[in-house]
Amino acid sequence: MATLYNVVFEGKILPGKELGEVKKALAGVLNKDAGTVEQLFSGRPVVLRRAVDAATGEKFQKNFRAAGAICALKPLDGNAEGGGGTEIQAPAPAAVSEPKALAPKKRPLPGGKIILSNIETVPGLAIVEHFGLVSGSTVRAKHVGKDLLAGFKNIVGGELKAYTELLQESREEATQRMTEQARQLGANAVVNVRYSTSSVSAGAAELYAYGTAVRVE
Amino acid sequence: MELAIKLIIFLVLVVTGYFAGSAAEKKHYRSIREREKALLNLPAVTLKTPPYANEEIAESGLVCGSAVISTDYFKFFLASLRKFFGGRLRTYESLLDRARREALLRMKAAAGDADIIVNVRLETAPIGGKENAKGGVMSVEVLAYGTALKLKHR
Amino acid sequence: MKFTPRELAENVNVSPGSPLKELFKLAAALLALLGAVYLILGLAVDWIAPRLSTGFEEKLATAFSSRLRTKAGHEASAQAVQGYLDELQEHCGRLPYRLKAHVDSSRDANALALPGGHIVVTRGLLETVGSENELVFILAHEMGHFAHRDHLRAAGRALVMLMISGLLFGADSGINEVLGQALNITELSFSRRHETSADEFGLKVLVCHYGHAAGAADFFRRIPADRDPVRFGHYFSTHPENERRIAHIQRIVQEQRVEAGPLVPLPDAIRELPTGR
Repeated sequence: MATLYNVVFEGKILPGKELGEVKKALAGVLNKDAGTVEQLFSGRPVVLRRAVDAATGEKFQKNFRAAGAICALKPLDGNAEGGGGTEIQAPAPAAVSEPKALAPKKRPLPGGKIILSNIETVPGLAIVEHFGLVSGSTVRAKHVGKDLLAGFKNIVGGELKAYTELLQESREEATQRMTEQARQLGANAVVNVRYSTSSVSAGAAELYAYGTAVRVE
Repeated sequence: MELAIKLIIFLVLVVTGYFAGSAAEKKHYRSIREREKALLNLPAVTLKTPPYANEEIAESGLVCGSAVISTDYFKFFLASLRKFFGGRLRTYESLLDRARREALLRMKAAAGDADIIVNVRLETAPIGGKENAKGGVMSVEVLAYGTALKLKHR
Repeated sequence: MKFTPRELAENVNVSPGSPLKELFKLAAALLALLGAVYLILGLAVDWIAPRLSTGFEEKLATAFSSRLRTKAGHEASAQAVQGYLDELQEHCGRLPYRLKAHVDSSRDANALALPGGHIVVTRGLLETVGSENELVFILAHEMGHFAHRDHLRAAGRALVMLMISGLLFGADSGINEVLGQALNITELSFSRRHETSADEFGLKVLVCHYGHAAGAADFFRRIPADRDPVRFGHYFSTHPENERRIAHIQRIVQEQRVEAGPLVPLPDAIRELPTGR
């Protein structure tokens, strides 16, 4: 199996860049709001993405550099899957228990990624408590120009790229809203996630994501 | 003149929609928040397997709640403008949010004194007025259903 | 598994923002966009219209010009009007059109310039005019419209706007109707500018033909204020409009120091129209 990495951001920005600008640029790159980006600069290392391969990691680094910040790729070992949604310092090749000892695990630290799972559990972890249903929804429309083009495409057939994009954006936003709710409740994972699409209005797509917010360890 | 009459009717609808609609929405949200607070202790989860052993469960049953909520004319007009330019339809977001929360609350209310509702699913369907023919939906129906469980000892 | 009930502080599922502000922003953007399209179209049409050859226009017009056949009984007056047109064209207002006269049996006094060089005058008009000079002025006015290709500009712009809105909103949506009526009004007001320049052209031709400008504004003066404006067609959309045009004509006459002269009575042949419909 190829080596996997965690993408860790330690608040470093490129020399000569202005902090405010970098934060704004990062908000755009990561598609998060200003508040979340602030938390990235809390002074503590934040794990942005777990267990990605080298190519994805490099893509992250490139995007960050474009925004004016530096993120690090910390190789992770075999089965040292992130414990309890906490940040991990570069885990030295060690047993799973080490991350627990390093960082507090009672609450998800700001910037920690919420684990999403489509099954009842998060494999490898145990659910300790749950907070009920959380949901995220969004309704979006493409502008009328793309609608017209899609209308023409109907004649030829094939993928309507504009609408695929639209629904992808909607899905990401809905998922992000759902994890935002989970975070507010103090959860660090959402299990049994379900998606539902409906067309509330012609030309507009509504996407709904819902699941159970839990805390895993 | 025909044009003037049409414009006047349209303006009246939009203005009525705005004021009456916002008032109705605020009232509805207030009611939703109150009931959510009251029903806070009844969890609704999407987990399929009840987090209790079979012996602990006294009874179970299917519960559901549904609601059909409609927007006002102002929101509809605003949404048509929005669809022209693309982007987020804020007005429909609140419509769906209200409808879903209402449906969930009704489901929870139907569960009576259950301890937990598992495998909650939500179905959304647009229900149209005559605008539906032209593609402008003004109301949406949400159905929430799950299995309510009552534990033996509590 | 423990359950911890917690309340959500804010509602993430509804984006913040006041709907009124959004409405104003979007409406302003839409109006600006439509305005820009209208302006650009206006410029484009103004640029294309003069370049459209009259031969091409006549070909387009054959679609409906067959319906303009003068009814039986009016042929004599139609011929007489055609005679005037030919004379005016030959000596005073050379146009790249072959102007054709038609007489309509309507009782309302009206004159129309239609694409392809067709001028329609109504029986009501022929009955109402007081002198030959008046009729000649009216005909010359219509010739002015042709000279400036006014009919093409108005039709072209309105047509394209309606087509675009039909494409975007659906052919029979409410917006299309509203736009159609709004365009009707704006085109009406645009054509007022064209009317004035057609008046000037007509005046020029009138003076050329008779040597003086008597009778030019008579038609406008003839219709008193309390008569139903609608009955008199596009000439009389508003009474203040008439006043303005009379004043304008008089101003030009004074500036150019055109002399007064006698009014030529209209030959009876034109007035001898069959009674009744």
